[in-house]
Amino acid sequence: MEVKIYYFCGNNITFIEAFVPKVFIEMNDKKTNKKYSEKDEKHLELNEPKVQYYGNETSPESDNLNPASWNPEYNSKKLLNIINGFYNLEHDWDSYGAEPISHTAINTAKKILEVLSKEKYFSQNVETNVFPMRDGGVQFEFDKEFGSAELEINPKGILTLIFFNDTGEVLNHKQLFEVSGLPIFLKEFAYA
Amino acid sequence: MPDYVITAKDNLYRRIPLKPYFWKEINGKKIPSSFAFKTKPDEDGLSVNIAALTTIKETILDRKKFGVAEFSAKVPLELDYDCIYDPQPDNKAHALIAGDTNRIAKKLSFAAKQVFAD
Repeated sequence: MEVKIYYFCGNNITFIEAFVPKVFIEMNDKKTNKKYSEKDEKHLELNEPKVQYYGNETSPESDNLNPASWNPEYNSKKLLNIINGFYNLEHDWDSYGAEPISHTAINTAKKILEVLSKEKYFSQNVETNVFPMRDGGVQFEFDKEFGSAELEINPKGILTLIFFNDTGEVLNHKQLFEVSGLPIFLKEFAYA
Repeated sequence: MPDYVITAKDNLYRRIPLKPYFWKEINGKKIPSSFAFKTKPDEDGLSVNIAALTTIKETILDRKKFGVAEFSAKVPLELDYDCIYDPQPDNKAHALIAGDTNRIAKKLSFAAKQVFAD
C-alpha cells in the first residue's frame, strides 16, 4: 500500500511518500510471545548492508564544519558505522556497570536505519544521532530547533518512541510494534 | 566523615565514556546524550559525585577513557528527586539521585556541561 502525505509550508508544498508496510520486526515481547532465535540473528547478520567505513568513530565537532555531514547518504553510513561499534562494548563500558549491547537491539537499530534511509528521512531540519544504552539497548535521538524525540530499542528489540518539548519535558510516548510505522511518526515530528 | 546534605547549590559530576562519543551540538549548544543519565532496571538510583567533595581528576578515573559532565543538583531536586549522600569505601564523594531517572534524563542532559581536568 502506498500512502502519500502532503505538507503545506508557506508557499511551498512538500511531498513525502511513505510505503506501508515494508519491514516488520518480530519482537520478543509478551504479546506475541515470539523469541528471536539464533537462526534469525544469523540471518540478519548475513543480510547486513555493506558498509564503507570512515575510519575511527565519528568526530561530531568537525562534522558541523563538514558539508558532507548534511549529505543523507553520508549521515546514514556514519550512523551505521557508529552502530557497528556497539558490538565492541564490553560489560561496564561506562564504568557504572553498563551491559554489553544486545545483538537483537543492534540488528533492530540497523533495520531502522535502513527504513529511515529508504524513506529519505535524513534532512537538515532534524539532527539524528545514535547511542548505546546502559541496559544493553540502543537509542536514536532526533533533535530539531524546538523539540526532540528519542527512540529506545530495549535489549529484546522492543521499541518505544518518546517526544519531548524544547525543555526536555516528556510530551508523549508510545510503543511501536512495527518498524514500518516509525517514518510516519518521525515525519510528523519533523514537520510539526 | 560527617553526613553531607546535598542542596540546590551543589554541583554533581557524572563520569561519561569518551567512546562512543556522546556529545552532540544542537542549536549551537553542546549537550550530552540522555543515555548517560538513565538508570538501568536493576539500579536504585543514578550514581554521581558531589563536586564539593572531590575533583574532576578524581572523578574521571582514567582520562583516556572518560570525561565528566557537570550539572546542578538543583535540577533533580526541583523535579522532586532525592539526592542522597552515599559514600563508598573507594569514593567518599559518591551520591545517588534516588529512583528511576529515565523520566528526567533528558532534563539532566540539557543541564549538563562538559568539564575537563587540567
